[in-house]
Amino acid sequence: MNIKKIKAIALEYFLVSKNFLIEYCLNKTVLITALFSFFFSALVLYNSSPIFYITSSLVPVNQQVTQQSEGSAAFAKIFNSGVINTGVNKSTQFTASVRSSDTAKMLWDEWGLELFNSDPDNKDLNKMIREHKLLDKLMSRIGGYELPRFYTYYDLQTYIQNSVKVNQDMYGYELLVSMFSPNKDFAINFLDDVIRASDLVAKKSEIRKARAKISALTRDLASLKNSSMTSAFSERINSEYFKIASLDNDLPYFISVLDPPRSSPYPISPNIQFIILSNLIIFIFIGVCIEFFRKNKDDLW
Amino acid sequence: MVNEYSTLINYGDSLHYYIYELANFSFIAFIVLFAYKLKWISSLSMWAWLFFSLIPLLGNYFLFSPGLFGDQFTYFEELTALKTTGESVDYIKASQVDSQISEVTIAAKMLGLVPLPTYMTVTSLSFANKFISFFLFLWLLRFFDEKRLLLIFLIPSFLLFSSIALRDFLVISFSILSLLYLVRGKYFFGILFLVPLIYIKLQMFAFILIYLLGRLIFQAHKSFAGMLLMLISGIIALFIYQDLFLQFINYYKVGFVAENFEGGYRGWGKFGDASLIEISSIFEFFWQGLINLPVFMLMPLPWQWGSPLGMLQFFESVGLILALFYLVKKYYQAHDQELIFLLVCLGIGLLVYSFLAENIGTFVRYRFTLFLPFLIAFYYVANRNYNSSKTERR
Repeated sequence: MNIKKIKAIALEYFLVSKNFLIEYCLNKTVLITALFSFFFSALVLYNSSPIFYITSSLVPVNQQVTQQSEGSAAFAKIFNSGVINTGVNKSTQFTASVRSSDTAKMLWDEWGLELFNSDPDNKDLNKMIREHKLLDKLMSRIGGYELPRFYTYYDLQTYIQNSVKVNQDMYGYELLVSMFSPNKDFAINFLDDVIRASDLVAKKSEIRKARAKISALTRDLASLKNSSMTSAFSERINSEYFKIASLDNDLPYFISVLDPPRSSPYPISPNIQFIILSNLIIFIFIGVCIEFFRKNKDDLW
Repeated sequence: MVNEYSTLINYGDSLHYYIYELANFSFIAFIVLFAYKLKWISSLSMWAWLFFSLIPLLGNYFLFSPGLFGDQFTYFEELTALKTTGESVDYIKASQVDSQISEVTIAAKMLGLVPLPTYMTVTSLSFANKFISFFLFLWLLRFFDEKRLLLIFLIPSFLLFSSIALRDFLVISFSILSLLYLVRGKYFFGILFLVPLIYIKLQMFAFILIYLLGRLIFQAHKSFAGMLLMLISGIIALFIYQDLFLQFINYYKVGFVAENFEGGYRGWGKFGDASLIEISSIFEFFWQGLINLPVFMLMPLPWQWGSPLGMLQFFESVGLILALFYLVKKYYQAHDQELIFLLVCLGIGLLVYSFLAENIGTFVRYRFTLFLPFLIAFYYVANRNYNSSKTERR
């Protein structure tokens, strides 16, 4: 193919493109549809709630609390190694606690009404009427089972499980607790409470475990004859008491709060510019289509 | 327009999702209309392509959950990260050993070159694939009858891969382009389109490289003796470098078994035993490859169907085998060495895959990405050599 031929083809394509642009894109129909796109965008944006991203950075504290005297430390270490659960670290315990029903139960009094109450006259946490879909009602009639009448803390648990995400970074240094919400203030306070309550629930579980261990160790200690075993048991009991002392306070135990919950300065959705531009593209194309099919209707079939 | 919060919000099945993706559809549909006015395509193709352009919108969130092809999110997050920050997302960066670039990064960069108006949701990448698909169609129109080409583009897997956000369609496109240039003896462009396959699908690169070397060094496309010499040399080389080859092929074999193992790679790390899978000789490789070949060619077999997609893929594989069989039968008497050589290269690829085949879903995709480019090249050569009025024949 020589240069002249290429030039001729390029010129032909340029002319066709120019004609296409003038004929189908720069006309009244496209102008009207383009203007209409702004109304449509306004409608879409009016019906969209801004979604903020609320995050809190935590550092998991992964040391086990132990307290030992030097004398029997070596023996107690061997003894303890069989007892300490090495499979679960504190970040996992915290994450599980966020999702647990105990955490939801703890938060129920404070957040139940705010999240689930649709009746402004009702102030009773246990009398918040739960609406069901028609299909669910029908299925319950057919299946012969009853639908729950009121909201319970299990609903709050489901809400937390669906809305609060806990992600550990690639290297396991940080935990990022996050949620999306159109209401910044609500989400910041709620997330703060979820973090605090989850740590507290996990701590309570540890305290229960420590008390159970103390009880069992004290019982068995009475029947021990071997002095080194007696010493190891005593060490262990001391260690559990020390653990209870370090857990039974208001300080966070499983996690250390690096950044308290805070919101993104701007909503992450909707993106106003992008929606306006996308709608503009769609509506311009609709205008082009109308003109295109109007002018070519005889050739297209 | 790029979603800078792609790891946080993918718009799911919301109104915003449809707005962003309809903008992409509008853009591609506009190009289709423009191509019609330029007389590049007929009105039939125009209607067909307006429909094809709509398919990405009918796939994710509509006919199936994007989680069915979960890797789509990896490509989407990587592409948006590259476009907004210029860097890969954390989990891909962490997986890169010795600053080696991930195939996901390369594929995302390639898809990101498509000038779509929005990259806001996972389906945007599906539209990028569709855009490439349309231009591939326009290019292929030079060689094939338009209606027959439309039929090829209607093959369900072809339609599916060009409508989801994976790199398989890129692999198919580069393979078709490379093979069609090579069979026409245009080595510069053949190699140009072959090179990206090193980064996005090494196996495909290897199979087409066999074809290229066979043509260039042994003239295997012209001489049966040359082809035999190439095969014998290949087998001798395999025996000489047996250890290296076995190490390589066992690595992939174990990798695919581990991927399919209960609990994935982690489960394999705890309970897997590589010695039960690894082979110790070339003969074993050929034997296992040959034994598995019939099942591999037809999978997923009816008892392996987990969804309607499995059923569709089974009938599609039967259809493709029949199409190849028809072509072979039609041109059998011609004893065309070029066709024979293409079949041999396809056979080598299928043998390797049938040896490695463990995960059904993965290998159905692999089989298709290998089979279709060779089938198209075969059809092109047969058509050119025996049916075309043009005197392009060698």
